[in-house]
Amino acid sequence: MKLYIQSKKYGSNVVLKDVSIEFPEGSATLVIGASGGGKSTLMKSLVGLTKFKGYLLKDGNSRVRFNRKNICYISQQPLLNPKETVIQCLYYQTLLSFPNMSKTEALQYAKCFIQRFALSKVENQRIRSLSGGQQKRAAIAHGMLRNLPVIVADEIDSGLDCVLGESIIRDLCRIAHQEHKTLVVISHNLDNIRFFDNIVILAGDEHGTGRVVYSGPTKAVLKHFEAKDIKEVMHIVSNKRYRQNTQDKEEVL
Amino acid sequence: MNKISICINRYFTTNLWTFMKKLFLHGLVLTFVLYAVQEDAFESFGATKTMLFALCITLVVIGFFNAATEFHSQREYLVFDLRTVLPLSVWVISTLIIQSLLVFCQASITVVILIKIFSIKNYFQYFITVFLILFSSDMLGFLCGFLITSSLNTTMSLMAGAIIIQVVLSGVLFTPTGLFEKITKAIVSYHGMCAIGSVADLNSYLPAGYPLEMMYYPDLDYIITAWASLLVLAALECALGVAILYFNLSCTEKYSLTKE
Repeated sequence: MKLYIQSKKYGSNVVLKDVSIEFPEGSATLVIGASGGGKSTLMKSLVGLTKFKGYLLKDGNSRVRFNRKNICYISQQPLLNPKETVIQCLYYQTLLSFPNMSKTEALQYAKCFIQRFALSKVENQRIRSLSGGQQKRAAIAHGMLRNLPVIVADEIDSGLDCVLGESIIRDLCRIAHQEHKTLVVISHNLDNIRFFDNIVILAGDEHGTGRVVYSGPTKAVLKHFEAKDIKEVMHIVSNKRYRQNTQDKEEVL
Repeated sequence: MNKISICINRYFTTNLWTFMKKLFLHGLVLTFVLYAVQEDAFESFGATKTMLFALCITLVVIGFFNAATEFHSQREYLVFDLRTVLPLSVWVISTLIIQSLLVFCQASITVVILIKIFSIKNYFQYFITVFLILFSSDMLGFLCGFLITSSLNTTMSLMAGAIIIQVVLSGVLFTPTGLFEKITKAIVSYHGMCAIGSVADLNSYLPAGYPLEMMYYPDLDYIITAWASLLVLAALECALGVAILYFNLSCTEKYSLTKE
């Protein structure tokens, strides 16, 4: 899958420009970047939440209109009916996603996802009574049961403790590899980078327009920036922008 | 059809208690209001008009909040569902069925209360009138539920504004003329008062020699016209609500494709 954003503007402000990213099938990609780098806009463009000038290619040859009907989108805040229990939520989602499935089959299918995402103990609890981590697991199960080839997760580990956040990211990456799905995770957290095959780093240029400063294998990112760890990479990326801004100011003066 | 039944089943699995609570509260509020204004009702013109006005406005408010609060509270995950697995047409049809059922039950409760307190005779006409007032204001709530944003202040202001307009332009507080007369054509409470005043034969309580109020003309054709107006209003509000929702859903789903 390839996303090309020629430009994305909010009013006169260009948020993203000439962004071209490939998301290889069956791989897990992490999108990171400093605030204002355009991560959220990139995610919105990917799942069809905002218009942009560009295209999204599937299999490298055909332009397709992707939206959330064919991309599994897992939002930062779980968008589930708080009145429903976990099993009800997954069961009805299954029935609506696969109308030809019988009620018994749908229940079995929903229960499989409950087990898979370790929600068995809370399956009869209402969504509103679950902890933050359990709600996120329920939201992932809710999205995943549609069995779509592309999964986009927006800051799925935010607001969780590092152990829980890591386990959720690890599980998602494992599923992507095992089931040959394309996973795109947008995150601020740099601790779980080792689980991803590829990494995309976004940074704002001197005008505040987000651009891709790196897109490639995770293993090669340190070598590319000649850095010791990913945090140093982020410092380099941020300082480049800072230096550029300072240069501009000095020139003006 | 299958998806419609799934949606209805889903609603009642999770909202049966809320549904029952709405019916209970409807009965409670209406009994309180009608007891408060029952004195001299169906005896003098003024008291009957006041009672019918109180009944009509109560029905409008109840119908409005039936839908407005519900759609506003479920807006976020509903829009998410509509963008993923739930076709808009399926959701609209199932919602109309559920809201019609709720309004049917509320109208039945209202007629039972009216029979108990006022011993009304033409209860079938009352039932249709009450059903249409409730349904039409329910659809107004449906429309407002999708017009309003996630901001609580905007929500409260819009809901209060909608209710105030219904009260002021009901045709009871003053006789609308000019522009206001045209606006009242789109006001549920105005058509509701026309229908319910005619059904109750309000003019028959006027003292001898007083001119008849044309708003409550006790003719079956006039009543049917008022019912039709309420139904058309409900259909328009529903269509507008669906159009707003459709626009919200589709405007962000399109890519502006450029040549490679």
